[in-house]
Amino acid sequence: MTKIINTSIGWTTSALPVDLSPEWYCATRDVFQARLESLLSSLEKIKGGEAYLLTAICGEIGNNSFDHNLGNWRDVQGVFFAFDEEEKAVVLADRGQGIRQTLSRVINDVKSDSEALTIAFTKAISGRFPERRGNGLKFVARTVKEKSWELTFYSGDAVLSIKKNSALELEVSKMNVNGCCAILRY
Amino acid sequence: MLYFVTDMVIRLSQFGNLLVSRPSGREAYLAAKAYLLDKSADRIDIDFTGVKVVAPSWLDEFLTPLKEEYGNKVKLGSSDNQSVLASLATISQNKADFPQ
Repeated sequence: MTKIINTSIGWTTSALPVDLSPEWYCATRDVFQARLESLLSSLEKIKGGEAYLLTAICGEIGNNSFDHNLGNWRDVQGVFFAFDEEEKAVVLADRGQGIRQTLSRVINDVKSDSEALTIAFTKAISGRFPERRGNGLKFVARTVKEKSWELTFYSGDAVLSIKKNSALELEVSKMNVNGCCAILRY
Repeated sequence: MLYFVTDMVIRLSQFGNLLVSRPSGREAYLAAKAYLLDKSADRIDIDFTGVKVVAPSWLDEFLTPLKEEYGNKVKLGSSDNQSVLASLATISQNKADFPQ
């Protein structure tokens, strides 16, 4: 695994947060937006029009972290956001409440992290009831599949994978992610 | 008798070329409502020219209330930008809700 993937997993699985390099840490949405512009600039040179779609996906995932955890972070506010041009990978992570806890506010009996990830990626429902939300991760899943990119998304003890030419897969992970960690390969 | 059709254009690039978060989409809608939108307009054209990235969250916060208030007066301009097309498809299960 690349350095950014190892770092993001280490950051989200540790009981206490470790310090992050400032170049990978976005404490606020404004910083995240600025880094997203930097990603777009890099991707445009190598991906052309697909750069816009990749950036939109990263924007959805990163802004989801802020939307659902504002005022309610586990310990450290903000997101880890890094990309590796050589490995063609983008990583986004947060130490927020995680998908299951977020959905549990609107659905009574979410029994596992795996069930929560299934709901989040396949059904139009949001943890921010009564606001009209809940399409962002469906957009991510559909686009990744259509473009034959790959996504690995961890939350709690579940991991969801979208791989080239295969259906969405869910597994119980060997590690417990305190929040969310998304690895996008293009 | 002569009837005049008043047509207005909202250029989304006026709000930036990277349109991705719900708060900024909401802010853009409120700004448009305060300073751009004309209640008497017969047609409101949404122009995507110059926008590089738009995500469904931003578009939902901007277009959905616009559509609720102005209905079929809202017309979407054409675009070949992949993020525009994918985000539009995401927020409108029925394309007829957002006629071009």
